[in-house]
Amino acid sequence: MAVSQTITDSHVQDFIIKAVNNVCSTMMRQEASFVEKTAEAAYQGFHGKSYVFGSVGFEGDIHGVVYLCIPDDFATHAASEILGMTPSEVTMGGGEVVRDVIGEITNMTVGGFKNALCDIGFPCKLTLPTVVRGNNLQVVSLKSATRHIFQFNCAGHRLVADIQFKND
Amino acid sequence: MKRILYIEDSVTSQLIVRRILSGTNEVVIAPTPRAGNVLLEQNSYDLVITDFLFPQGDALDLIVPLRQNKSLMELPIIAVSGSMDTALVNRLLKAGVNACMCKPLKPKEFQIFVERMLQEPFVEGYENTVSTVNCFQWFQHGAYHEYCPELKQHLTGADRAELSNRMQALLHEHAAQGAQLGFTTQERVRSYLVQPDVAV
Repeated sequence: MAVSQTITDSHVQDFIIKAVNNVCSTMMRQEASFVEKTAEAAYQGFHGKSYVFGSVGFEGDIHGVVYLCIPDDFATHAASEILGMTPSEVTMGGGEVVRDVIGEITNMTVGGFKNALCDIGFPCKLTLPTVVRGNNLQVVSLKSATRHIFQFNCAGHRLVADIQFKND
Repeated sequence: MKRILYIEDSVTSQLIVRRILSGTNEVVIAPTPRAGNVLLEQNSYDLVITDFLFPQGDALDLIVPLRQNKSLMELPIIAVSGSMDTALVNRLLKAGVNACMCKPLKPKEFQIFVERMLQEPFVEGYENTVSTVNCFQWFQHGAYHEYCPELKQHLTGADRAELSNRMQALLHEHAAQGAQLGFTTQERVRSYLVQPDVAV
C-alpha cells in the first residue's frame, strides 16, 4: 500500500472521476465524461430544477461527505436502465424506487472514492446513504470544510459530485 | 439447481444479483443479517452472498455466528460491498468469508466467480496471513494431551511431536475452510493445591 502524507487536489479529482465512471459504465452502461471542476464561489447550484441528492459520509483518518446531485429526469432514466423497467414503471413505483437506486449508486461511487483514499494511506469507513429529492435543493458548505465540486456529463445530463473534507 | 442466499437491504442490488444469477440458480433474498440467520437455520443453501453495511449492523453479525456453527463451517460465503478496501477484505477473510468482491458488480465477471465458488469452493488469500493460535499441551496418565480452545479439540498421543503435527494439520484444515482463528489473546498456567480431606 502506498502511503501519502497529504491528499492533493489531483488525488481528489482522479479518484472521483474514476469512481463516477466505473459506476456509470457498469450500472447504466453509459460513459460519464468529466466536464469541469467548479470553484465554490462560482457555483450556481440547482435553482429551478428538480433534483435527487444522494450523500454518503466517510469517517476515519479523514472525515467528510460526498453529495451526488442528479437531475430528477436522469435519476428516473438511471433507475429504469438499472432495474430493467420502463420510465413509467419507475414513476408508478413511487419515490422509493428512485430513492433506492440513487442511494445504491451513491454508495458505490463514494465507496470507490473512499477505497482510493484508503489506498494512499487514509483509512476510513462509509456511513449509510441518505437521499433527498425536490426542487431548489442546495448543498450547504460544512463549517471549516474544503469543498471540491466536479461536473460530469452522462447521456446529455449534468451530474455533480460535491465533495467536502472536514478540516479538524 | 444450486440455492444461493443473498443478504442485501438495497432492492436495487437485490434485483441486479437476482438477474445475474437466477438463470442457473435459485436466489433467496434476506434483507438483514438477522433474517439471513433465520433462513440459514431453517433451510440449506449452497452459497451465501452478503452485502457488508446494513442499517442495523454489518455482515459480521451473520458471518461470525455462522462460522461458529460446525454444520455451516464449510458453507462458502462471498461478501460484496462498495466499500471493499484492503483492510475490510482482510477483516472479512479473517472472520471466515471465502472471498470478497467490490460493487458495482460486473455481471459476467460476477457470474463466473459465483459459478466457480459453487463448483469448487475456494478461499481467497489475504495480506498478513499469519495468525497465532495458542494451544495447551500436558502429560497425564502416561500420555500427551493437547487442547485447542479455538477449535475446541482435545487430542491425545504417546508422541509429543506427532501430537503437535496433528494439531497443526487440524488448524490448517480449519483455516483453509475460512475458520476464524488467532483470537486466543492470553495464556497463563495456574496451579491449584487440592487437599480432598480439607473442607473448602
